[in-house]
Amino acid sequence: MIKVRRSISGILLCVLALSLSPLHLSAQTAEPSYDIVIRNGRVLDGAGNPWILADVAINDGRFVKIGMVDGKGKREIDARGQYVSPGWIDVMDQSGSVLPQNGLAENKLMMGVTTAIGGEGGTPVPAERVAEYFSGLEKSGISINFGSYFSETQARAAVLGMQSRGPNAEELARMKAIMETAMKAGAMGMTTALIYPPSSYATTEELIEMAKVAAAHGGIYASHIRGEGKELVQAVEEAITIGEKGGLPVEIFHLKAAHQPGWGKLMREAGEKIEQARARGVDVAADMYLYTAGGTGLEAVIPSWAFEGGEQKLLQRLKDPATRERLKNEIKTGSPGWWNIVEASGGWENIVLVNAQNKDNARFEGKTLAAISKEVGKDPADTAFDLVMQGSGRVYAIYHMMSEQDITTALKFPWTSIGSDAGAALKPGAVDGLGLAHPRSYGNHARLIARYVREQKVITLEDAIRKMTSWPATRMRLASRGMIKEGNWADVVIFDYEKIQDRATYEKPLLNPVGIDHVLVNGQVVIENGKHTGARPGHVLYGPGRKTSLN
Amino acid sequence: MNCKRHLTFLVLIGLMLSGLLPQHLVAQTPEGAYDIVIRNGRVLDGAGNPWILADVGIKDGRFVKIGKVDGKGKREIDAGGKYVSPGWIDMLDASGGVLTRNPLAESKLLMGVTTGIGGEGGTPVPAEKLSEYFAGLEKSGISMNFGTYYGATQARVAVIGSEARDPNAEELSKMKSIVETAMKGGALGISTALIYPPASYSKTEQLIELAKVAGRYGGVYSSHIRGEGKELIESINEAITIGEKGGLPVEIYHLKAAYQPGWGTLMRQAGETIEKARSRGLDVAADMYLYTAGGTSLSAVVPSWAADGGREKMLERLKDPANRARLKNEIKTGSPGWWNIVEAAGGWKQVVLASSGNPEHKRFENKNIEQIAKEWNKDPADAAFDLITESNNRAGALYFMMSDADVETAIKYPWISFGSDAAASPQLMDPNTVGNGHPRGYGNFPRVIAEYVRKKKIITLPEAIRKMTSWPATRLRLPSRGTIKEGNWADVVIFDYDKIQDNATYEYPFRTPTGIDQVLVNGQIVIENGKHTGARPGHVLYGQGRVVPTMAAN
Repeated sequence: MIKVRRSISGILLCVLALSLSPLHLSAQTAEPSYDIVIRNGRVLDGAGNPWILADVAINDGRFVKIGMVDGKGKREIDARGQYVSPGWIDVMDQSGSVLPQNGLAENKLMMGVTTAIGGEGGTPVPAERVAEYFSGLEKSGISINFGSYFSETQARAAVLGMQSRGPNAEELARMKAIMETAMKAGAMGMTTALIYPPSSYATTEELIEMAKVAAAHGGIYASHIRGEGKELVQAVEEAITIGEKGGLPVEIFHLKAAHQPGWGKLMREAGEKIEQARARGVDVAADMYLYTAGGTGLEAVIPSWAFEGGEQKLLQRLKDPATRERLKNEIKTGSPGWWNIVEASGGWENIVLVNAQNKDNARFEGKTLAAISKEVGKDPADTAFDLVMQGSGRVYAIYHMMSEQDITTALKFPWTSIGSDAGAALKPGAVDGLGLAHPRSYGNHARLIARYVREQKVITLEDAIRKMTSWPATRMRLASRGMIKEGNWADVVIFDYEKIQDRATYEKPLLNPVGIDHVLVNGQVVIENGKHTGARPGHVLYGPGRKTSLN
Repeated sequence: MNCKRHLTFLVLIGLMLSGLLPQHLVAQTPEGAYDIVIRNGRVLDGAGNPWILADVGIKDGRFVKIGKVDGKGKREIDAGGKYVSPGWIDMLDASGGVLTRNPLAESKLLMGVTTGIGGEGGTPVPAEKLSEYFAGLEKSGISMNFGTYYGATQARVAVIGSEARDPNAEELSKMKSIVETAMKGGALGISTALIYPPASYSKTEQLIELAKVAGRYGGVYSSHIRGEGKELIESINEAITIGEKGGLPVEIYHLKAAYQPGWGTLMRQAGETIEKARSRGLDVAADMYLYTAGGTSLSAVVPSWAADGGREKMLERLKDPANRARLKNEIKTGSPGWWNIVEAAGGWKQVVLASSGNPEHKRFENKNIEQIAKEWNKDPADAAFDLITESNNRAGALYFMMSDADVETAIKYPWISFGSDAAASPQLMDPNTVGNGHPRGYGNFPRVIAEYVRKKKIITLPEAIRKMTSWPATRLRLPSRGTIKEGNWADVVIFDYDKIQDNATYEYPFRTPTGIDQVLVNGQIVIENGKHTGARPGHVLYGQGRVVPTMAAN
């Protein structure tokens, strides 16, 4: 009895001590009531709404008041004349393997990206270690919020290796179990990148079966579809079928029309195809980057059957003159199950080497394959094969294959969001973690506003912000993100509409944008006056199927 | 003292009290994990985004999960093939006086309105009784959420009555302190209705002074502007000036171009004027209803000086032959400080008696003043004046003065929201009643979708929903409303896109819409299969300047 009474009086004392904290007194004294107050900005709520003039108060990582804020913040940010936006979401990020090495993700944050969704190529660890990978990120700390898909190809490769055949029933069951493990560990869903072997070996039926597993755990199917050139519409249809039969939403990664003769037409058809699917109730949408050039490995110019069995097999085949001839011929005539990126680009003069992964070949970087082949006096395909073989890592190229007109068309689709297709750099000013020097890694999100809103007036500012904030958040079923509303996590970009400018170009792809004054992640200032503060307030964003162990 | 040990104990108690422990347990026991789950709908988040296919889990009045919802709801609603939208917000509601008598507001809820923002004409009680009024609504319970502006004119009348003069310094300071009382009482801002005397006697400078007070308390200035016809642009500019000098956001009520010769140009100019103000940093926006006729008292046809001193004075003047002659002449030539609604409508033929307010005049209802004048063998102005005096100023009219092309122009403005300009019916009216009202009271919101999205394709569905949900919520700084997102209050409209239809017409203004299956307010079902369930889950929505009344010291 006595003990209990003492305990209760102790509690009362503790309660008194707690309730007398400065926070409670702030109304009477000048003690700060909030962690941060952003004053007098033009607040874009992210919901596609016009701005309102308001103060934004943040406490404990979240927005707590929007409107007239009386109390002071420990930190006051004057945003007069500037726009205050929810943090921008990069729905096609490639930072999965970089973040354990560099959690600061400077190039992402400098372009206003506060949340990145990675995993086009899968997670950097196998399914059974995804949970550990995520908790590792939480432990080391990351500056952006990050979530990731798990790739169907990871499950496939784990069971079938680089074989081009389909799995038998038992193998498929194992692949499904792997997918389930990844979903339970918190993957956002399932990805494919169907132009790259061995992903390209997967049939639609296999993908539907695997998608059902992701669906059972609330996941999304996101795909770098099987072809983005003249076969674009069929490839979009395949993705829709997988979503429809698998019973889950579909995200088309980096929607593009990469086929010069189809410019102006293919993109409209792709849009109609998606609209038709939506009209019958299929939850499909797409994202895009904002450049007319893609960027990927130079090996994408090689027909996919040559990759069967893995890298060593490929190198053997490339060394064999007869096989080489066959491959060269197929680049001209086509090969079943392979997307001809050379044709899509309109020839070798539109393919630029950007990372040779070889000291001797570095002098060719920035030149087209047509120019390089002339310099070395070889056939362009031979030149490309040689460059691939001589690289000590993945050799990268930029493929100029899209039109501005189609970017404009796609931006106007109400269901497009924005993804950079680029990873965080290992250090500031370096090439992104993939080793691919493309301006999208430093400029993509700022470019939407500078080029497509301010200069070309393709869409309105509030619509652009919607596509980078509430839409991807709704789409990815991210709770409490994507809008500046009380209770949401305080991811914020404060920018100057007149000054915002992406500066990265193909020639100088590693320049940060200007005009972004502050970037906040979960209520902490991460970018201030163009400098990273070193803060690591990012959260791991888990998929809906995550099962936490209750110890 | 071992605070740490005590704290652990406290945290446990706290968890139990806050209901967190049971919530953790429900993860393992999905039975009854949610109060309501809405399954398989096309969820429009309200943020102007395309729909996603998702379940929506609701608990304790709020959205708690959107996506794949595993747990079962005590109530499961199948929304397969239907759209699930945040509840619709009526930015120009006039239910302030009705809700105390009929808190069910059936006519509002049946058209999907879950939140009404009243007060164009002020609050039904004086400033000092506002807290009490709100508390009364909370106590009796209301079916929709409701917030209100305070009328700047209320403060004016409280100090100088209906006199057509300026307040002196002392009077103005009294008026300001009344506005302050109203803001502390929880008003969302101040409103004016500048075509009606005595509001029309207020000068811009006086309004700026009152606006400053509302601005200090985080309020909005909302105005039925001084003229909506040929003087539309000057009137918008006045509202903008009041916002700029008063330091607060401006809402233009029921934006319209009510002047036939200006159709097609005035509305575009109005849009440009607002855009220009926004581009220099002024927080201005507007709302509108979706009909080409306005509806108000028939006495709007009387030049406003005649109301100096109040309604009784006006009725007296209308009976005086000399005054009557002067007023008749002014309807032709104009009168300073008065918006000529007869000219705006394009003549008496466009003015229709909607409600007579006198059984003897019942036969004139739904006829235009020109027809009535002919039947009555009178001059049209005389006929109108007689209808006013003989009904003791209860005659209401429809003024056909807008063009549908202008309605379409305005709907596209990104900063437009929708307001019905109607009060909840004191009781649901007989759908077969002919005339006697304006269809906006029963049809405005479904009409956005049926007429302007589905039929005419003027704006997209997500855009229409945005303008009825997140935009008004953001605009009015309403926390936790306007979008279907975890943590927000669960105001929901479930509708069938192919079937939704406003059925109210000028002839049958009380026909309720079809195609709205369920309406939820704060997580409770209020409309189900076209019927009001009797639930009263609505909240009073207070302004940011509210000072919560402290409990008496004893």
